[in-house]
Amino acid sequence: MLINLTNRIKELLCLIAPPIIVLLSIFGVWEISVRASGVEEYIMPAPSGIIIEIASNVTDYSFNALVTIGEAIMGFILGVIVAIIGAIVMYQSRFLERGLLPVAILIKVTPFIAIAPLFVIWFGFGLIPKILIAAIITFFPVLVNCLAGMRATSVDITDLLKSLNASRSEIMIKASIPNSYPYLFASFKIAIPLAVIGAVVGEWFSGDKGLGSMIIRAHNNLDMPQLFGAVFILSFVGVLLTGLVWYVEQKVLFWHDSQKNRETAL
Amino acid sequence: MNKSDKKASDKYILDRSLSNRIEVSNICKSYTSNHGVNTEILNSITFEIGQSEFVSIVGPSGCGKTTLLKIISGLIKPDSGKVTIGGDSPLKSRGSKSIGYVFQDPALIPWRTVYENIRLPIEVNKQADDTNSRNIEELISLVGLDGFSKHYPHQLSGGMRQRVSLARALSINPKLLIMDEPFGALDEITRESMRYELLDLWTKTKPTILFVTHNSAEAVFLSDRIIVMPKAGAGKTTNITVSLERPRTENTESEEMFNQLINQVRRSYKC
Repeated sequence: MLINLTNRIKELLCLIAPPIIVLLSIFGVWEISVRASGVEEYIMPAPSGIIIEIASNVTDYSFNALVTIGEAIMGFILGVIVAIIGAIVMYQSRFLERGLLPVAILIKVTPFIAIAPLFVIWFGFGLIPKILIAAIITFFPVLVNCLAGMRATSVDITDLLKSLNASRSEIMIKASIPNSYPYLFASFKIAIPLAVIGAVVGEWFSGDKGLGSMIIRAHNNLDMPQLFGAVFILSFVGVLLTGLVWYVEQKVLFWHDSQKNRETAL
Repeated sequence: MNKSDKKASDKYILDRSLSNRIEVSNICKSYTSNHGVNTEILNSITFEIGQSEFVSIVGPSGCGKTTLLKIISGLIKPDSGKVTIGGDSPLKSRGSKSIGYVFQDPALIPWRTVYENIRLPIEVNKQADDTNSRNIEELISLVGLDGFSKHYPHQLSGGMRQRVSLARALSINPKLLIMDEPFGALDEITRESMRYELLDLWTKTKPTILFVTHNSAEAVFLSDRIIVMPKAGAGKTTNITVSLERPRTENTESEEMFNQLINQVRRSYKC
C-alpha cells in the first residue's frame, strides 16, 4: 500500500518535473537578462515583476479570466454542436457532402479577424459576437474530424448491422458516431485553444470585460506588467482547458488504442 | 397488430420450425472496373444446403467466395439467379434477422463489453420478431467465456474475441450461420481448439452453417459436405460428401479417409 503510494508519487513527479524544470530555466534566463541589461519596465518587464502585478490584482485577473473562459467555452460548445450536426448531415450522402463542404471551407478560409468588427456591428458589444467568433473557429476542425471518424467505421461492423436490417440511424447511433469519438477529441485539442483566441479577438473589438480588453487597456496605457500579466493568464487558461480535454478524453476513450500505451510510456 | 399481420407472423414461425433449407440457384455476378473492364466473378453457381447441415466452401483466392456470401446474406444483389433461405428471399431473411455472420476479423465494437457486443443484434431492427433470441448469459457460458461478460474486447485474446463474435452471431438464433474464414487470423493451436468448440456449439444449437475456409483439413474435419468453387467466372462447383463419423475427435484426423478426403479437395481445386 505504502509502496504503491510512493510509486504513484514518483510517477507523478516524472510526469510534471521535466516541463517545470524547462519553464523555470526559461524564466531564470529572462529574469537575469532583464536585470543585467537594465531594460525599462515599460518595454520588457521581468517575470518577477509580472508575478507581483498578478498577485496584487488577483480579483481583477480572475474576474476577467472567467469572462474569457466563459465566452470561449460557450463558443466552443456552440461550434461543436453545429459541427456534429453538419457532419451527420454530410454523412448521409456524398451529394450533401459535396454541396456543403465547400461552404464550410469558405467559412474556414475567411480570416475571422476580418469579420470580427462586422460582428460587433451586427450583434453589439455583449457576449454574442465573442461567442460567435469562438464558435466559427471551433467549427471547421471538429466538422472535418467528425466526418472522417464516422466514415472510418469498420466495414465488417456496418455489414453485420446491415445483414440484420438495422436502419441507417441505428447504424449511426450504434457504430458510426461512437467511432468518431477519438477523432473528435483530437479536434477538440486543436479547437479549444483556438476558441480562447477567438474570444480574445472578439474582446479586442468591443466591450470592457475579459483578458482581451485588459490587453488593449494595458497597451493604451503602456502598462507592460499588466499586458504581460494578461498574456500569462491567457496561456494558463489555454493549458487548463487543453488539460481538461485530455482528462475527459482519457475517461471516455478508455477502449481506444491511443490510451493503451499510457503505462508503458511513463 | 391487426389480424392479417398476426396471421403472417404465425406462418413465419411455422416456416422457421419446418425448414432451414438454403437454395442457391444459377447465381451470376460480374463487376465492371473503373476502366470499363467487365470481370465475371460468379458464373451460374448452384447448390443446396439441407437443414442443420454443415457445409464448407473452399476455393482459390479471388474465386468470389466473399461475394457469394454477401449475395446469400442479401448485402449485394446478384446479376441473375435466386437465393432462398428457408423459403424466404435474402432481403426478407435480413428483415427477420435470420442470418448470423462471423468474419475473419472478430469486428467487435471496442467500446462495448462482451455482454453488450453479444446483445448488439438484438438491439437493432426492432420490427423483427425477437422471441427466438437467446439468453446472453447462457451464450457466454456456451462459448466458454464465463466471468468475462464485463470485459472489453481489448482485454481479451484473439481466440476469445472470435468466440464473442460467434456468440454474437448466435444471439438471434439464426436459421443460417455464415462464417467467412472465421479462424483465419488465429494461431494454429487456438485454431484447432476452436474447431472442437464450433462443432460442440453446432451440435447444441443446430443452425445451418455455411463455412468458408482456405484450409482443406479444416473443411474436412468440420463439414458434412464440401463445395469446391471453381476459379472466378469459370465452370461448375464440385461437391464432396464427408462421411466421417460424428462426433469428430482427435482420432478422426488419423483415419485414412480423412487424408483421402483432404487430397480429393486439393485435387479438385487445382483443376
